Amino acid sequence: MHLLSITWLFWIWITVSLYWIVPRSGRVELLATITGIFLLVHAPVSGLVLVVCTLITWSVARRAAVTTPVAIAGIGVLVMILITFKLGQSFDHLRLLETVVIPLGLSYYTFRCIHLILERLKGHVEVVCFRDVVGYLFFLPTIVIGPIHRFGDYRRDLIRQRFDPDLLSEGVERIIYGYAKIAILSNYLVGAVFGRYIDRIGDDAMPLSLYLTTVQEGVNLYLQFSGLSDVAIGFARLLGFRVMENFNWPYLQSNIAAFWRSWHISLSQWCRDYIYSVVVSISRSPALGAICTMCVIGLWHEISFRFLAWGAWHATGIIIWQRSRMVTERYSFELPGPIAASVHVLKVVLTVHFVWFGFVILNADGVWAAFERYRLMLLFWL
Amino acid sequence: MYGYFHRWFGPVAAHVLCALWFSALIVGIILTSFEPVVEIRYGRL
Repeated sequence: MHLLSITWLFWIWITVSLYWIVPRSGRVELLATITGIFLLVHAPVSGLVLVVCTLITWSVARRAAVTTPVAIAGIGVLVMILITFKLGQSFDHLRLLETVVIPLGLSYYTFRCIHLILERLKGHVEVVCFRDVVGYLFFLPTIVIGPIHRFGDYRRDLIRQRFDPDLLSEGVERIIYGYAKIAILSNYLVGAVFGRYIDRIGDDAMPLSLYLTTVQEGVNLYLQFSGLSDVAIGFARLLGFRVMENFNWPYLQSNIAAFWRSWHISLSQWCRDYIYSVVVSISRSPALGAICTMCVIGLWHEISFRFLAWGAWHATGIIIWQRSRMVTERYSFELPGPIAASVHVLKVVLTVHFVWFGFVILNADGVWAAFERYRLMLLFWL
Repeated sequence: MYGYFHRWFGPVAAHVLCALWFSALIVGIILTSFEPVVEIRYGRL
C-alpha cells in the first residue's frame, strides 16, 4: 500500500473519527487496536515483530531501576532483530530464503524501542506502564515512515490532549501540503515534466542529461520523503499530537553539518544523541564520531556496500567541514555585505551538490556504476 | 496559510482565498495522481 493511495486516507479518516468519539480514557487502547488491525491487514509479519519488540522494550523499561547490562541485553536483541531482517533482504538475491520482506516500519519502531530503553537507563523517563509503551509504539501516524518521535513528547501530548479545532485545521492543511508535494511537485512537475525535458536532451548532451538526472533524483527524494513526513505529522495533529518535524529546508543549508540538522531530523537527532555523543565522549574525536554516526545512518537504511559508501561520503564531508571550521574560526574576518551574501550562496550551492552527488551512489547500480556516472558527468572529455 | 491571507488581504478575502487555494491544491493533487508514482530508491525502511 502506498501512502498516496485512497486506502491510507481511509485509515486516517476512520482513525480520527473514532478517536474523538470514544472517551479520553480509552483513546490509547483504541489507537493501538487500530494500528494492530492496520498491520494485520497490510503487514502481518510487521505486526508480529512489533509485538515482540514491544514486549522486549516493556520488559526492560518497566523495571524500577534499569541497569546497564539489562539495557544492553534488551538493545542487543532489538538490534539483532533489525539486522536479521536487513541482512536477509540484502542477500535476498542469493535466494537463501524464499522471500525476505522487511517488516513495514521496522527500522523506525526498533529505533523508538532503543530510544525508550536508553532514556529509562539515563533516568530521563520515569517508570513506564504497559499502556504507555504500547500507546507509544503502536502509534499509527508514524508507524510506516516516521518520524522517530520521542517518548517524552508523546506522553506530554497525551496528558495535555484536548479537542483543538486549530490543531485539526493545521493537520488537514499539512496533509494537503504533503500530498501536493508528492503528487504535484514530485510526481508531476519534477518526475514527469522535467523527466520528459531530460529525455529530450538525451544522448546529444550526455553530461548535462546526467547532471539534470542527478538533480531530479535529489529534488524528488526530498519532495517524496518530506511529503510523506508531512502526511504523518498532519495525521498526528488530527489526533492532537505534535510530532517532531523531519525536514527544515535541507537544500538551503550552507554546510553539510547544517544539512544533517535539517534532513531527516528525527533520525539524525537520534544518532547524535545515542551514537555521536557517546563516541565523542569516549574517544574525544569528533571525526570518529562523524564516521560512526554516518555509517550507522547509512546501514540503518539498508545493510549494503552502497549505503556504507554513502555514509562514508557524508562522513568525509563532515570531517572536511570540521577541519575547515577550525581554520575559518582562527582566521575569521568580516566580509562586506554583497560578498558575504555571494559566499553564502556559493556555500549553499556547494553543499546541495555534495548531497545530490552523494545520492548518485544510491541510485546507480553499485559504487563502480556511480564512479562511471561521475566520470561521464565531470570528466566527459576524457 | 489563512494567517498570511488575513494579514495581506483582510479577514473576508482571506476566507475566500483560502478556500480557492486549498481547492486548487486538491484538484491539482487529483489530476496529477494519474501520473505514475515515483519510486523512492532510498533503502529499505
